[in-house]
Amino acid sequence: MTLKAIFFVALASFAIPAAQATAALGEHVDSVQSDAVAMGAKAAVVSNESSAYSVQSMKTEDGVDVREFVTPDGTVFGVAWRGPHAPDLAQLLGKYFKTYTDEAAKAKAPRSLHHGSVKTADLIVQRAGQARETWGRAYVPALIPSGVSEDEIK
Amino acid sequence: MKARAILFSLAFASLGSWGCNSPTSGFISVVTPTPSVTRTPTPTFTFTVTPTPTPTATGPTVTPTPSATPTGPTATPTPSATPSPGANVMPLAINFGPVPGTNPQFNLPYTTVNICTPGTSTCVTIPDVLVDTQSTGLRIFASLLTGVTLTPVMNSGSPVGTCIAFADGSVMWGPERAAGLQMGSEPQVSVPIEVVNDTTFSPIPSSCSAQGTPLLDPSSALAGFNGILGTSLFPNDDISLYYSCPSSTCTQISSPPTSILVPNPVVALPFDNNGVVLQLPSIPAAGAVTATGTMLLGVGTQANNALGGATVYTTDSLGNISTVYKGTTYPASFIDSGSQAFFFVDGSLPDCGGGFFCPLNNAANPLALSAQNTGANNATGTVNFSLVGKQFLDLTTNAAFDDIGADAGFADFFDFGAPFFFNRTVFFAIQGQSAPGGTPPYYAYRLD
Repeated sequence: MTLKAIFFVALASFAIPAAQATAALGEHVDSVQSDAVAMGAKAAVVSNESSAYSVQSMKTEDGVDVREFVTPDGTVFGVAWRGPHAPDLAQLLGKYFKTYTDEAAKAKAPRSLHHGSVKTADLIVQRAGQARETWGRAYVPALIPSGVSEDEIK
Repeated sequence: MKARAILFSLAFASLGSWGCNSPTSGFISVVTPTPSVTRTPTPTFTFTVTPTPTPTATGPTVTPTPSATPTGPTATPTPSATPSPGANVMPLAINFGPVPGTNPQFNLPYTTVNICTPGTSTCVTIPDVLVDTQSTGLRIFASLLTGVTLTPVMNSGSPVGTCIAFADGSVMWGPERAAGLQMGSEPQVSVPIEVVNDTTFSPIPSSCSAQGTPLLDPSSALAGFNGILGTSLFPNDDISLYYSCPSSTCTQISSPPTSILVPNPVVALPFDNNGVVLQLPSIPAAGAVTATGTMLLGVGTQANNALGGATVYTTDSLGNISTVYKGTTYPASFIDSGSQAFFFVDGSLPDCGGGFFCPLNNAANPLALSAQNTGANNATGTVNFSLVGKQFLDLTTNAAFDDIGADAGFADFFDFGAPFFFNRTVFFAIQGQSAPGGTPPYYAYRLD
């Protein structure tokens, strides 16, 4: 475990007020704790699954597992979730949420109620969900560390 | 945060119930189909007078105009102790949908339901309701529910609101209310449904709009239907968000009790309540302007919904089966009438925009493909299907296609969407019910 990771765990043990509800994607890691608070989750747990990034995991009060992918310099480049429903995407996608909803509402054919993608130069969002479970991910291609595959964001 | 939410809901719970009108049992007005919806073939209905006493109702009151749509035998006016043969037949049609001019659709199978003030014959007919085999529960736009009074579903003294988020980026928000639901010629049953975008109800909570774009009416970009009849493999909807709405402010219920979950309406029927069967006809490779088939209630409960030679594929706890396509296994595959295409991953097929697969195969020479399905019960079978390049298909002339494919964008599932249903009989048996051939939840299908 790196020093930085230890620092995050230490940070997580303090109560972080939700005053600044900064969104996570594209933002600095500090926002991850805001996400955790805003979504009623316990504090994020940090793990280093790769030398190229760290992952902060949390479970929301209503049972959604959320993972945020963070570059070594502390920028959230991707988020992924799985659970009974989607987490608060406005919180999680932050400044990208409007891009997501605008693009999704263009109703590109063919479509499905149970999976969908938004692809722009700045943002990729993929969601899937059936009767019992939903999952998805969002990432900013330009922020993915070199050598990291988008497939790792899950 | 949690403690604050609890205090908040307690404070509102003490305000008591927030009113909706009580049922107007003496008010009998037969409501005709909404004028805005004229495109779908008119379904034939025989209304059954409900067993609940309705002082002024004396017999069947509505006979919509006859049409060519198949229909079951006339139902008896009084409830019987045994299923009525043929009462389980509902229309199923693919066409341009309820807003063909500005919001035309393709490959969305629609049915028709009747929504009544519970226990009365005051009903409104709702056509163009999308049959969705991967969500659970009936949801109808409030603007179409004219002339009927539904009963609020309550949680600890407060009306319940519900929010379903679909993965295409749409959400539906509205109150959960008990409706007198009549499907086919089955008896009317009281079933909680979602009344979508009821402007007299609490406004959409931010945690709901934080999941996507709210659908407001059939003309909304991601709609193109008057409602959704979710007939999944499961008895209730436990993935939506549920709220207590004592006032204009709603509080999310973090662990909603089963009693307030929006149910699969099929389960509420006295008979034919263990699933549904969808049938669509064979159509030309170039597509068809419309396609008319049948939706049957029940699986193996009557002569018309028997499995016949269908193979049963039981699913995992999430409704998935395993599919092998071109040597790759897709473990989270499913059969979905709420998808307009076969969705899967195949890098060898050109994508010509919007995800459509555009192989150089026209309708005279479709691309023959196959996939192998395996159920949790280890039943296996091969699905043969074909694709025609989207550039060869005219989506302005035709609304029904059995050979449209698109990139799933995901590597863990094969989605057998609407094209799969043509020339097949497809069975969906609901978890917790008993059905022939296997233990639900299961899919079963056969070629016609």
